[in-house]
Amino acid sequence: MIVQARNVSKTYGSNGHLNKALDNITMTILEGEFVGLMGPSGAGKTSLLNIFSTIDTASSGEIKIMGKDINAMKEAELANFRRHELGFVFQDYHLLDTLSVKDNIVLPLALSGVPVHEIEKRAQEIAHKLDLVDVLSQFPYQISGGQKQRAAVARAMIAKPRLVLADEPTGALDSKAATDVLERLQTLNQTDRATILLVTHDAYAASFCQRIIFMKDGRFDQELDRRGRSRVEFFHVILDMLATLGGNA
Amino acid sequence: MTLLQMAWKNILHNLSMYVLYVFTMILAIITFLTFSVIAREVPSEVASGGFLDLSAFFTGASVILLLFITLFSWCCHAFFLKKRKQEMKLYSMLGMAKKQIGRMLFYEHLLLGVGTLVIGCLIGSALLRLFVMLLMSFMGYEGSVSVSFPASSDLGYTVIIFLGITLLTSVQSYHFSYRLKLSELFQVEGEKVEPTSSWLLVVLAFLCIGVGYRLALENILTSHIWKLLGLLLSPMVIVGLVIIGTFLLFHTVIVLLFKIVKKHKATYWNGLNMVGASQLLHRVKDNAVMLTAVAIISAVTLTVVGTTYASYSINKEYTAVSNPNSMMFINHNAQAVKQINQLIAKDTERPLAYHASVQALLTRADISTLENPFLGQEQEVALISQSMFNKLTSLQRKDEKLTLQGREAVVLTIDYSEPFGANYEGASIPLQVKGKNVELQVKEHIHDSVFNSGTASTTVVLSNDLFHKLLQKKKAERIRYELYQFKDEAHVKGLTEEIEKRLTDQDLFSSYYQEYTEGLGIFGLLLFISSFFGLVFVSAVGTLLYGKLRIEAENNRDRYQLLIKMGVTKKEITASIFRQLCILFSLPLLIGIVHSLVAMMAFSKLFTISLKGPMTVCVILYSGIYCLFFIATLRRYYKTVLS
Ligand SMILES: Nc1ncnc2c1ncn2[C@@H]1O[C@H](COP(=O)(O)OP(=O)(O)OP(=O)(O)O)[C@@H](O)[C@H]1O
Ligand SMILES: [Mg+2]
Repeated sequence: MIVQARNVSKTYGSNGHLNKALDNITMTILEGEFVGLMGPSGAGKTSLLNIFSTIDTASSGEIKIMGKDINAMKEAELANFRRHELGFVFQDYHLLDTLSVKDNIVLPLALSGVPVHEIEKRAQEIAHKLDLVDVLSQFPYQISGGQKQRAAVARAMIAKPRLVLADEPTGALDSKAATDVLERLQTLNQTDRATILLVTHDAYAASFCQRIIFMKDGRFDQELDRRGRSRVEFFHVILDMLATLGGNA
Repeated sequence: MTLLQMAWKNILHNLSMYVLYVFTMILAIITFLTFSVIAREVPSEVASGGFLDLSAFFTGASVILLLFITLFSWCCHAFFLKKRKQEMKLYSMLGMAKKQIGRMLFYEHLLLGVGTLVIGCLIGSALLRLFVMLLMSFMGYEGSVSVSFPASSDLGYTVIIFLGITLLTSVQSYHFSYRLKLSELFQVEGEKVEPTSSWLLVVLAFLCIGVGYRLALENILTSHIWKLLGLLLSPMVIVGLVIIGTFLLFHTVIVLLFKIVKKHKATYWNGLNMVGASQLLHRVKDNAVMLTAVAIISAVTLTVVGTTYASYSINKEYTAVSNPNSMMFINHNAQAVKQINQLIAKDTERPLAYHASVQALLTRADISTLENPFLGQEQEVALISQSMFNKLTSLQRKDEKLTLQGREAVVLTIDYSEPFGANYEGASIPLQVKGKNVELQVKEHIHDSVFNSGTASTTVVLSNDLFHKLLQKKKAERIRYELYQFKDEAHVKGLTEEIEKRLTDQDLFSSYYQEYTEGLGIFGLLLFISSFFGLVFVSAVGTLLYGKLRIEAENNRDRYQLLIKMGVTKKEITASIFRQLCILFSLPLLIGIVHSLVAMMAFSKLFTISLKGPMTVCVILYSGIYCLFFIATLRRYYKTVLS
């Protein structure tokens, strides 16, 4: 079990303006799963992701990631935990513009003090998997959005984290680039058994997942499992579900 | 909300950004006000012996200060505006007309300037008495000070000048709003291409600085290049070369160091090293300009303050060397000397250590063989006998004793400046004692004298035989020097004045006390001015660095936040920032110190004064104040990036 959350709530604001972003969420994610998180804007998807990523803390409830209670961890411990166990992909890439693509990708390894030859080896490995070999020496401003997001995925994956959290990674990409990124995420999930939690608005992106959780107003609404369906079949099931839920997710 | 209210709100909101700028401007205003008052008041308070025109001096200093502060103000506003570009574009997008934005910015900077001016004038007025007292104590002036508040004319002058600067920057801000381009709104700032450099440029950098240094350290009199360029152009060439060299140095060194580090992957791919290094590199052009400015201003400040402080602190020693006797004059009038001796005898509070009456000869010496263009072909020298010399040295508690034979001679001079002075040792010098020529063999040249240099400059000691032979000559110009030494030569004010009254200009009266107090006056004044300058300069330099890095911190906020998400601890981030800022602050300071040390070496060659002690004090003080700005910047950077 990678993620285990029980009765997690999150309230923003102080005494005057209370805003309940998460309301009693309970969920588990198993090792090697590719889970999608959908829901209308303001449903609390990012809030939940931030709590799982230990950047933010829950107002109440219990969260265990890889069996560790993250509420009980201190700042330095959390940082260490994020560094070794988690990978992040963001909608707007967040690549460092002063570093080459290669340097951006290897940053997590450099931070963990991995020896140079190992860094070199893994950089080549991941660059092949994500088709980035040709752009390794370029700078972020010189490459396309799809390449940037693949570079961001490479950065998230290079340290072989046990949980990858992706917040709308295809939100800023056209369908071809999006497909490319999603297919590679899927491959990484299948070959490297990386656990992935993907937040998305898009039924097509969601159809790459094995399981989809729908959220609304800070609560769990529905859940869908792929159960051996093909991706196209699953896509239609998701569309149907969105229609019954009100469509505007 | 009116534009004026908005401007006021903006100032409060951005107060932490303005605070150091305001501080420096207040310092400048106080300095200007103080200079203006002193230029008017002090000449009547303290006579500087007519050596310096005080008010012209202060006017000159004020003009330099104003030029500097105008430039500084302009640069700071450029920073402020740059920092708020996004905000302004947002206003523009929300439908505010450019004219309105411009007016708002105009008001904002006008308010800021006026506020600073008012505070500056208030503090300046309150502290004025203290500053005048400080100046008086620097100048060794004992007496009460009447200045306690600036006259309205001084205040008016200050207000007009600084309002002018404020208006200039306000117009600069107004103009800025018209150059806003919405299309750039979402573009990232900063250089995109990775800067390059070559070893050739490094060589060029070192060449520029090296040639500049070499020129500065040349002997001004014998150097061909100085002769070629002239005394006015040469220093400018030196300064130009050093500035260019410094810029190239910063630029190339940062780039090449980065390249080396990048090649060495074990260092580069270690923790945050690549993040910090690449950040330094990508703003290298901006940084190099900035660092050059800081290095040059630091060098100028250190040199100016160091020189004046050195002159001030060695005044006593210097005066003692050039005045081995408390008083000395030529005895032209036996009656006057008798009166003077009675005057001294009566004054029991100021006992004499010795009084010597010295028989000497005045003559002209042909020094064409020395080939010193500064001294010319001929020189008037005073001749004394070897036994008189020995008698005087024992009176003055000096060790030197001479034994000379035949036409052997020893030359005594006190040198203020090495390149302008001459070396007589080993020369043979023809003397023209009326009617007869004598060729002297200079056995030794002692850079010290038994006479006060104000009364007898170049002195030649002859063997007793030769001296008496020349003394017998009918047409010889015989002269008698009167030498006095008080037991406490620092407190003979009234007596000295009384004695001087009884003498004429031809008697060439010189006194330790007078020269000492005069020197104290002049150098005290210079020290006073340069201390104020130093404070304004170091504060300006600190403010510029602070402003620049503050903008950088804000631009880097997102990337540090990202790194935190990726599991970098705050400790690692603060350590990385600390290293970056250390480099950015220490590089220009070090280069500035080296430049100033070379300048000081050139000066000390020119004026034969030792500057080690005063220079060390200046460097430590300057670095200390500079360090405060470093700490302020560091704290602001941490705060910006981590919250
Ligand atoms: N830092 C914050 N301070 C206060 N309220 C917040 C904060 N972050 C989120 N919220 C509120 O919490 C609720 C959930 O926000 P959240 O960002 O998690 O939604 P989301 O599902 O990610 O939406 P979207 O699809 O638009 O990204 C919203 O009502 C939002 O206004
Ligand atoms: Mg969101």
